[in-house]
Amino acid sequence: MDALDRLEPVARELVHRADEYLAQQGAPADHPVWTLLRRVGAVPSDAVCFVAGQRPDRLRHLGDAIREHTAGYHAASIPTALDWAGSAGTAYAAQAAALAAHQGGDGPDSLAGRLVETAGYLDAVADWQQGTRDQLARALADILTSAQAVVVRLGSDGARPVGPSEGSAGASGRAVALAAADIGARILEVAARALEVGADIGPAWADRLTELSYVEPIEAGPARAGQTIDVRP
Amino acid sequence: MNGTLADAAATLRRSGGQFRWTAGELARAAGDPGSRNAGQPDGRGASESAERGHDEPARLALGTGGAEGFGTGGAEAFGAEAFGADGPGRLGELGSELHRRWQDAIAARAREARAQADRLSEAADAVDRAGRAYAEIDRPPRPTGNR
Repeated sequence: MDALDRLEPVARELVHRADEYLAQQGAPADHPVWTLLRRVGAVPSDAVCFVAGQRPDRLRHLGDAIREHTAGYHAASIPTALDWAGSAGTAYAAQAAALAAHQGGDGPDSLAGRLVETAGYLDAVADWQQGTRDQLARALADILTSAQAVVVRLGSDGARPVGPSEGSAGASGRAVALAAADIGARILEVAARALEVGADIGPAWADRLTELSYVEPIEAGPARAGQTIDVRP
Repeated sequence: MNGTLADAAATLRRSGGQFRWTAGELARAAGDPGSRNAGQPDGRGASESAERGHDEPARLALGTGGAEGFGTGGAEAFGAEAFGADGPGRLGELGSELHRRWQDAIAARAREARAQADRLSEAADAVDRAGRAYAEIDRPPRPTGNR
């Protein structure tokens, strides 16, 4: 359980209430919440619900399972030193060495390396999800202790109560609408930042996730019938 | 057949089986339900895969059911949700994009493993042929029967 797991249930009603004010009373035309709403394409309460539902550990668990398969790749034996003379034996030795390097070599340009990179991609997505959760938790903590929260909870700036279904006419109504917009903007800032950071993950990993081609050793082809076999005494 | 070569061919087939089994596991993780029996080494039965002692936690995590249980929708359904593809607005679009990249990557890993299994099988065949050729040469000449 992280900070967001603890804070989201506490903030849920307030965020929904802010959403209602925002939908029904709007916000000043120059308020940043409008730009953020367009950029994220979701209302604050939906964004909170979505991020709160993300479980980075599931991706990490999947990454660990992928990574475990590398042990099988390293353990899969390819005999290289065979009592097999002649051109076919030489070709086999070269092929065996190339196959062994292809499956278990160090770095991303081997099959085992590609598995590690694929698991790394899952870790990167999980890190991004966790980072977003942490930032949203901080935003909700700020919101819960803000003056805007008091205004939205009261439905008033203290002068006159205004329900969500009422108009925004009057100073008190405008204050509530502004407070709701501030709350929404604080949440959507986190979502917008998450979109920016998340959009970089795929391109950053693209080259390390592509399919790896096997490169035949230069003089080795498959041993074919008709190739000479030298019998050793 | 030359004993050393026969042993080598058997080793290559076992290694090929390892890759074929892994290919099936990875293909399932990519959401390919038809890959359920794809990982049986060299045409041997599904029970053999289980007998080979591969660890259960890895299999569960890759979506073959059980405790982690990716649900009746299989690994693909689990994957989409885990990446946030079900999210609202642009968040959902980004989640779908991240999930697609994962699916492409894991499908590539499955193809790589399958191709390596094929190459190892071919190598085993070549070694088998060489072993038989040696055995043929080593065999003492058969009496002709003409007295």
